[in-house]
Amino acid sequence: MEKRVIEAGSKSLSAYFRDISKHRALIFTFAYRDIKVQYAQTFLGVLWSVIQPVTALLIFTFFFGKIIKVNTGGIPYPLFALSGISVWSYFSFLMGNAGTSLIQSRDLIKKISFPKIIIPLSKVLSGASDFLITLLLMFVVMVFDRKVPGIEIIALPFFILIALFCGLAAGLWLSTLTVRYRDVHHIIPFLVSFGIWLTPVFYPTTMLPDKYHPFIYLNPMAGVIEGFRWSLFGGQPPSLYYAGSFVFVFILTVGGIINFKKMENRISDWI
Amino acid sequence: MPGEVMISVKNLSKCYQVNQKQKSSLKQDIVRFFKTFLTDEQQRQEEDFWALKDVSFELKKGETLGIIGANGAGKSTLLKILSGISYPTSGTVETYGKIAAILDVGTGFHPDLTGRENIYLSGTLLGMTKEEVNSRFNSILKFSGIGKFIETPVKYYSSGMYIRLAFSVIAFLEADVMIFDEVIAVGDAEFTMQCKKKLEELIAQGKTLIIASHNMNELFNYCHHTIRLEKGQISSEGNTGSEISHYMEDVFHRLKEQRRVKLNPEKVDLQPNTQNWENTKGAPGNDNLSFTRFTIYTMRTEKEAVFFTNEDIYVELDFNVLKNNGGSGLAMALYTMSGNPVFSSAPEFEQQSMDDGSKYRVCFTIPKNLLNQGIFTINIFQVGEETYYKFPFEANLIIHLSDDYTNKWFQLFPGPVKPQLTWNYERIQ
Repeated sequence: MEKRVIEAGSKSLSAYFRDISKHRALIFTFAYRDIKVQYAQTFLGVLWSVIQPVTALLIFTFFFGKIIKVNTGGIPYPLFALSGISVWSYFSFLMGNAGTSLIQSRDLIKKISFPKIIIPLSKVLSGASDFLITLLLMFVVMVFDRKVPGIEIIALPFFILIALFCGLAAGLWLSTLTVRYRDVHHIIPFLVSFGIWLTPVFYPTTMLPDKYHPFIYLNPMAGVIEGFRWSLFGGQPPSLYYAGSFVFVFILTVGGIINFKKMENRISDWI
Repeated sequence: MPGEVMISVKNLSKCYQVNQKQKSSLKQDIVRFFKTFLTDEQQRQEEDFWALKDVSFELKKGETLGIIGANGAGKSTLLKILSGISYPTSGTVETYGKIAAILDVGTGFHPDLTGRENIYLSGTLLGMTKEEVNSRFNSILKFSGIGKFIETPVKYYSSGMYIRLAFSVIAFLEADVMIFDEVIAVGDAEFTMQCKKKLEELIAQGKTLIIASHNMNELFNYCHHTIRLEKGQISSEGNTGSEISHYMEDVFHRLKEQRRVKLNPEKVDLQPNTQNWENTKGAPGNDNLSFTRFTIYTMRTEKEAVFFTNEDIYVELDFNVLKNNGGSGLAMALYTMSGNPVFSSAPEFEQQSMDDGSKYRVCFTIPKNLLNQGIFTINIFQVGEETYYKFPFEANLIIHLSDDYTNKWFQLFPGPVKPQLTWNYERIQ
């Protein structure tokens, strides 16, 4: 029979990963629940996942494309915006939902034994459906615009992955911090709604004077979105700044996991 | 294999930092950090609260263990650690095999999802695989009696239906050790019976169980062995019958003390045996009459807070008649502490007409050897052809097993009443 030892002190990292893997079915369970609940009792159902990005797209195309006439370097503005919105939405979904996920699942955490990191991890999947729908929408617009991506498209999954890790890392840190300090719970909506202005979602970084570039790349999502656009539409190749911010994402993610593991045993006491 | 150890708990302790648990904001921590940093003063010791202290026990296969103790004695903390939800501060727990912890009914249920979806959700959360839920789905559905509503979001269920469905998922969990925290009697009478049968089935199958409960009858029926927790420590353990009667003994004792200490009436949970409204506002009553005094007493001369099973108990109620209501009279009903009615009574004689503005006294006797040991509540009603009024008033009655029984071979008799039946022994062969 399976033996389990419960004692003070934390497990080794490998034991922790084994435990997560043992409970991996829960990742799908939670994601399935989230997606089901999202469309429960709606008349339009999945259509909402299309309506939201389209509305954002129309508004931004009107203001930035028609009125301000942002220089996108030849990319049609709707495509330019949509590419930014798709990646940014996925990232902000992860940051926001994974960040608040522990508090939201308080009842489960207090009643069921499982590695708590499963909860923020499952958000990677629950957000994926909306992201894929937006992505699909963008490809449809590309077909209409007869825009054919070049060889750079092979880098697309890489940038998506970075966005994913970026959102997850933020979510992991925020979720554990929220358990400890409820103040963070109030900060998350700010990060989600103001972060978009500090990221080149509606405008290209080229619009900013050169001296600000190192600062804008402190935000790893800047590199992700620019790289994502480059792999779709070509243009200015990725700069060295990206590399720096991606290393930062890597450190943030690994740190986030290690920190979560450190907190894991105490989450149910604090929450 | 019987005799095999399933759970072994060694020197288990759990400490909560009270400060940490209640409030700790970013600001406080930052201030504290700089204080420590600047003044080099040692970090202030936060107030420790030991929810469990040096608890050790062992549970073998097929054993059923009950856990009793007052609120805050550490029962829930212990169960949470055993089920792997919370972690100890020191000490170890070793568990063997699959452990299922049922600390709540409806764990993981989502109101917007249908019954079917919630069975899958709750089932997987409680540790079943998807295939296991698949294979048990029909049995769960049948057990719950939800029928065609299975495709309806559970938020539209009545609370009874909701609990039935939730409990049905639990009923089909399969594990080597099952841990319950007060969840057994739920739903309507029929369903409660079903649940009891299921639990008895589990015991008959030789499942290892741990049950924490305030329901002594439940523990008595299902657990061989009981641990009593007091302030986080095991204060005693032994066979369930004697543990429960000792525990009840102590509870009675405490209540008795509480009644004696009238200095601090806010702290007394129970009403005193005599309540007076002679000169006070807020006397219980209605348009017809208003209480002035209520008292419970026995023929014993000393003023006792607790009554014994072998003595007649007299209840007296004084009231002023405000407006005579000819067609109605007073009645009483007696309830257990958990609110279940035990019996009710009304005078058999024709109601006398009473004069407006006069004062009356009504008295009834609860005969000896009727009530069992326990805490009861008495309510007074006004009943008539067209009246049914329950006075907003209650009196508590603490009945203690009479001295003839203490320290005898068997101290706990189940049920709220223990009447003296006619017994006859006869040698027939």
